[in-house]
Amino acid sequence: MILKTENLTKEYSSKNGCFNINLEIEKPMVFGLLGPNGAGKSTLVKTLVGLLRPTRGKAFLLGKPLDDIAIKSKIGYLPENFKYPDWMTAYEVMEFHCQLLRMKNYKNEIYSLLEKVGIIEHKDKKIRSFSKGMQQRLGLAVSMLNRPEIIFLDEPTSALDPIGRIDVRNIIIELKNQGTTVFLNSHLLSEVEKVCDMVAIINKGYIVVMGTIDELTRKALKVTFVLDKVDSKLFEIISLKNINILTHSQTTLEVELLSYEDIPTLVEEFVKSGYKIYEVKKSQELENVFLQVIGEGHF
Amino acid sequence: MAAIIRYSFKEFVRKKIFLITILMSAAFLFLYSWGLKEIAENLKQQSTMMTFAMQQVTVFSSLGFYFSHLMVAFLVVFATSGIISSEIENYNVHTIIVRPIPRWKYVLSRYLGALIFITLYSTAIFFSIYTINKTLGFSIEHPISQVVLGWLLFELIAIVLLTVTTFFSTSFSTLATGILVVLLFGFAMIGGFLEQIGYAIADFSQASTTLQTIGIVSSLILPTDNIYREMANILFKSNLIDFSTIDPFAGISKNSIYMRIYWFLYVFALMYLTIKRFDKKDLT
Repeated sequence: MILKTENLTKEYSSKNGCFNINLEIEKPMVFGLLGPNGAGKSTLVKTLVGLLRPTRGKAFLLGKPLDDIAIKSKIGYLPENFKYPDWMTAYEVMEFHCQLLRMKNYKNEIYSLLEKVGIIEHKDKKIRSFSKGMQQRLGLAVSMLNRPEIIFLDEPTSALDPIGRIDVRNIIIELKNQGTTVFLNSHLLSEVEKVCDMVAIINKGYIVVMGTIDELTRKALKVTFVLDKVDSKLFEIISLKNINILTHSQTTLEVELLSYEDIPTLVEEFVKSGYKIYEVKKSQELENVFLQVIGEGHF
Repeated sequence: MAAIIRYSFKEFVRKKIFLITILMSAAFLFLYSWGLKEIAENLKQQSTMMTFAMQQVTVFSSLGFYFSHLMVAFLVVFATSGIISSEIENYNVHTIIVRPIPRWKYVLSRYLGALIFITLYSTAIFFSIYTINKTLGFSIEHPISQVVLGWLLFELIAIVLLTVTTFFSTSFSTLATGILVVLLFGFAMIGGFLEQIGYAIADFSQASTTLQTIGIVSSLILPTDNIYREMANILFKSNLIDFSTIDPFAGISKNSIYMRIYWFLYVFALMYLTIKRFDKKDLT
């Protein structure tokens, strides 16, 4: 068991915190935690890494309770907000953390990780000269020291440019392939959708939905067609297929489909009936689920 | 633990306030040497009463120690008020506490790093003043053990202040910690002066008892002034002459053994509470 929580609760007040969290991660995977601002995502992560003391409940990391110091050498953590001492160089920061982890012969690992996150040429520069994005890259490198078995990334791409985001995504995939479990806390639904095997959505401190991406998005397939025209004949075709129309304009039509197979069938029907199709857009499925879950106001 | 001690020490040494303190200390030592030399020579030439001249020079020498203990105090407050709080404020502690280090070790290591830094500075300033006094003023011959005891008490002042600063720094912001410790230090200083006045007017009235009580209470809250006066008594007293009684920066009152034990209990108890407090603290 990589991670298990039993009614884990961290309560700041009756409304703030995270409540009765029950999670189980049995095998290495990328686990995404989603939720709006103030939902309790960072609180949950901080409780799991030992920065916050749980109010109630239990949690186990790699089979050991959270207060077991030994497991800390097997976890990595990239906080959402942090600032390394500005008088240190990137190499010194890494070296300091290697010493905290009681690592030996760490020089090559430091170089390899700085290379991986793309700041090897800045290794001897003081942190005070680093941009926020560079600090985030360094934080990611620090969190990967000692090859952790589970790594918690709290908004790892918040300060990164698009290239940086792609780099981080590739690193997450690489970590997963190496057998590391990644606990990804992010606002960016598209990122989560691309890399996560399993997702939980947290709102007002409670986990409201949890499952694999497939399980969550099965009922939320929304497709938008951009055509030369949208007229009554088109509506007839749609109604014969028993498909739900969500929105439409003079040239666009948004429908809710039951399966992916419905997409080519519809395209074929439209073309046969003389319509020109300029574009077929699949809506971000996870975003739909997210908006639905949060919008429904479960609590 | 050694890594955090080293990191803390380097952090304090790199602070601008340390550089400023070093420059100011050098300026102070230069002016103090000059002043002491002039006074000592002048009084030696003019005074027919050798004891009177020695008294005047000794009071000036005592001022040297008094001012240097203030510099140590301010260095402790301004350099270390963020010993824990600034680490929390910039979230650096978040990256350290997740490592396999118990929280008590983190606090203790930060404390020890600061302690080494403060001890090096206060030792340098103590022996600089001692050497200047011995060379340029009138030297009171002490056994080496007495000088070492004086130095250890000088260090104890810094240790007490650092412990109080660390204690507040686990609960309050860096700014609030700085303000609180300065206020407490001022309170202890005023309490100490009032206590000495109380002893000086001991024969007169009820007022003396009240002033002495104020002094004792302030010493219990923060014993820095109390320790300083003990140190001054040791350094300005020989088997032949006791100059401490005519020195406003030393003390007429003598500390009991219980008060001396209290100083050490104070440091250990406060450090214990600091560790307990940090252990339960949520690092949000």
